[in-house]
Amino acid sequence: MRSRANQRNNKLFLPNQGHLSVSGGLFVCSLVSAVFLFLAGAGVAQDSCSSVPAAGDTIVTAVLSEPRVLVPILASDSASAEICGLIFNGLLKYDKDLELTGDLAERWEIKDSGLRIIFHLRKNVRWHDGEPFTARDVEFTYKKLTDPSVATPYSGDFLKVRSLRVLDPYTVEIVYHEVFSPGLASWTMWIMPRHLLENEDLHTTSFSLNPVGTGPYRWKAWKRQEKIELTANQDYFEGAPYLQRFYARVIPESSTAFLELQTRGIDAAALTPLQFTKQTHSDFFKTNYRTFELPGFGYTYLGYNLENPKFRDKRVRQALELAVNKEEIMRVVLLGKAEKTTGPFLPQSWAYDTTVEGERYDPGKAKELLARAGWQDSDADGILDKNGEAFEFEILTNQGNEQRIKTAEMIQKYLKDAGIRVKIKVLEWSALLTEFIQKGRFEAVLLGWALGRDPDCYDIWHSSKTRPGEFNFLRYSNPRVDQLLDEARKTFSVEERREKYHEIHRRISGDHAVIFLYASHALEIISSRFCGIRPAANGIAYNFIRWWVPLEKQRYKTIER
Amino acid sequence: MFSYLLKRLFGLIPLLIGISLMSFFVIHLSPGSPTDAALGDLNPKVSYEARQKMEKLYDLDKPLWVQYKKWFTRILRFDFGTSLADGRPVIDKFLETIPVTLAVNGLSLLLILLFGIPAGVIAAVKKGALFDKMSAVVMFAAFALPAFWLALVLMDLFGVKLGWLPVSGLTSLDFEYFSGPQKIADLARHLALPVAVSALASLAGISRYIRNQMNDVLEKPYILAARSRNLPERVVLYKHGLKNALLPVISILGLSVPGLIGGSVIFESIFAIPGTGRLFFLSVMSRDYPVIMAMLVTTAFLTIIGSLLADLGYACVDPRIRYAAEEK
Repeated sequence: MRSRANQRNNKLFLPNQGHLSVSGGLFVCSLVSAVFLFLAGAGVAQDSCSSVPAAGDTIVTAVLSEPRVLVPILASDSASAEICGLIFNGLLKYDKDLELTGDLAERWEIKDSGLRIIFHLRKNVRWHDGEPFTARDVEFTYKKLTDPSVATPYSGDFLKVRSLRVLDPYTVEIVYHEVFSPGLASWTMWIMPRHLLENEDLHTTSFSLNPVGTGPYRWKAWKRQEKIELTANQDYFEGAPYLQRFYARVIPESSTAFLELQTRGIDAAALTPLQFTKQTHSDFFKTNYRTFELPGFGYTYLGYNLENPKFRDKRVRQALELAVNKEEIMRVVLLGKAEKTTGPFLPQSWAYDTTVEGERYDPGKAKELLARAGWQDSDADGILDKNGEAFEFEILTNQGNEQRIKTAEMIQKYLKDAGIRVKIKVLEWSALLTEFIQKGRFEAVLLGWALGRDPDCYDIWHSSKTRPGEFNFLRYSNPRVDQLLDEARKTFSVEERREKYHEIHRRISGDHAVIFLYASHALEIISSRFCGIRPAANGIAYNFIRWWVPLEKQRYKTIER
Repeated sequence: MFSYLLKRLFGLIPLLIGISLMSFFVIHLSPGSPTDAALGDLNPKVSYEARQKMEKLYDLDKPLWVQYKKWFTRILRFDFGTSLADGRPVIDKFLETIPVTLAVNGLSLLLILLFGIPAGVIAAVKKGALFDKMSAVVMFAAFALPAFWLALVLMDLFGVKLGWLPVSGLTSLDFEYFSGPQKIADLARHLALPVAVSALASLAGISRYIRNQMNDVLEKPYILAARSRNLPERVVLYKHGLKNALLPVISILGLSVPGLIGGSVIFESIFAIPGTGRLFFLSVMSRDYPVIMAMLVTTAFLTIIGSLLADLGYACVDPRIRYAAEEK
């Protein structure tokens, strides 16, 4: 009944009830492929993947909310990004080790010490509707990204391009105004089909209801607020994906998603640290699922308004950092499912300087530093004061993120022990952003940064980026860091960039600009019937098209209608 | 009767304008902007210039009253505009979710009337008896239980432990391939828990209400008169008693009209049902002004219509109200 050809029409997926039993380890395939620390948690040994991958079966995933737009350059929410990532390709992509590699581009050349980039495109790629993919599509996507009438949030990196020229149908030359090395990574942006969108208004186009890309999965159906269905692209240029169907079910409540896991209604979900460490160890979970602890792509920090007189003194900032027990926060709030960070980069990135130690918890030294900065408890009320003013401040954080709120509460306690009174205010996200952060109306914030794979963090730390709505809202300013950020953008050499970013890391950390708290891990649970999952620095999704299910374990089989 | 209706209808116009003004300004003056959503969880790649450009495209840089005028003139033509989140017509988004919410709320209202009224009557007739006491305890418990907790417990019980019902969603994955009767059965299985949970709290409310009404009525002199005429108890209770006790139910029904399409965020999120409550919640969180406005105005309109219908219903069933209105 199962056939790979002609998958598109009239197939019925039914639970393959006869083969639900999970067999013991006949063919144990080791998942420990590389030296990565991030390995499958429970259930590695039960893996029984035979050596020859088989096509077929379906994966059912859950998304918290429905994708908003499926026009690639307008998509900004995580659900849209997840779906677009399966339907579209960029010119480049990140491989398992977070290195840039060709996707729609076969190879690329960097010329004139980085001013010019030439992309050589793959020649055998077709859009899902059969039209060939060419350099004109790249040109079209670039034009839309920089078109003032298109409300794309991603125009920033592309406005630095002076010109984009199509040299021949499979070669594109891009010239920058000045050398801009993070620009290379911006070409991971998904390319859109010119022939379908040329005469459309991207904001209202019906393309968003029926996207056509070049990617491993093609669009099938969308039941609003319920589910999205994709099917394998049999003509995918890297080979057809093994999993024939992809469902994303919209499940807004994580507790509901967890119940769905227990009825095997979904195959994969993200877990909270509590679920990961305490609630997924039953026999049911051990036989049916595998859990993964993977590096995340962001970090959480306590930032000060550096223009506030209380925080201008570096000794005070250092003292605050010494007074906070980061290890304990990670242990209590994240149940250890996080990594300590000491600087503005992802711990798994090459830009991260592992030699920076950061401050270790030392409340005694904190008191001493505060005293040297003039903060003493002169009226013996338990709160430090200076010139008659008590040391107290308010931490703002956003609603809906339990981990941040708990972290703020722990910091409140540590600082109380150090003689500082902290208030916590939890605000709805949008209000926090527009009314407090953009207007500079805050003393301290507990927030996080979601970071891309490229380490360029100019927008966050450069002293020119402090207008309302820009990202250096903490108003950090260090001329040397400014210079290094500039220079790091102007070279493509990873060695040189690494050196500069390492120095940026040391300086920002040495300035005690913020308290870098932790980078939480991504905790995933996936049905154990899927084989071929290889955790790496880039997570697990990078080789999704090579995931497969042994025939005897396939749950949803295809039946001719 | 007709002139009464006409008067009431004209009275609606200033009310509607007032509602539109209030909802427009409340939403636009609340902190936050539709462009915040593009930032996600603070993505530094979303540049300042890009967000300014978006504000301009959405007319957000114009003075509020200009935005209001634009919006209001469109509303008069029943054009609710397009969503800022995905560029689709607001009316489409709205119409997609309404049938779902209507079905859940309609069914649960049916359940409420079907079980609530008899339960209330029995409790009133057998006042102080075991049934009355028991139902009081059960109903108050049902009323006090947080719905989200009850929903999760029932999902765990019927979905996970017993495996009788699906945990969440509205349809099975392969729903499109089912035959007609299979589809109905599938929908029924998915709707059972949400309908039951959403009915339970109101069921408790209405049955206690009916019981009290019935109690009052049964002490009225005309019931005594009916009994002294030696009418059968059935006639006394239903024809003379219940009929009068049910009068206030009309206004409850009238007020539940907007509730029929205004879904509950909590139920719909927990059961992953694609209804209006979630659409509204998501729109508020992303400051999707056109969608929020359309929903506020529609709900307000339905509230007014509902109470109008209730008043007319009263006038129909209770001649005293009708004559009083006409005398004015």
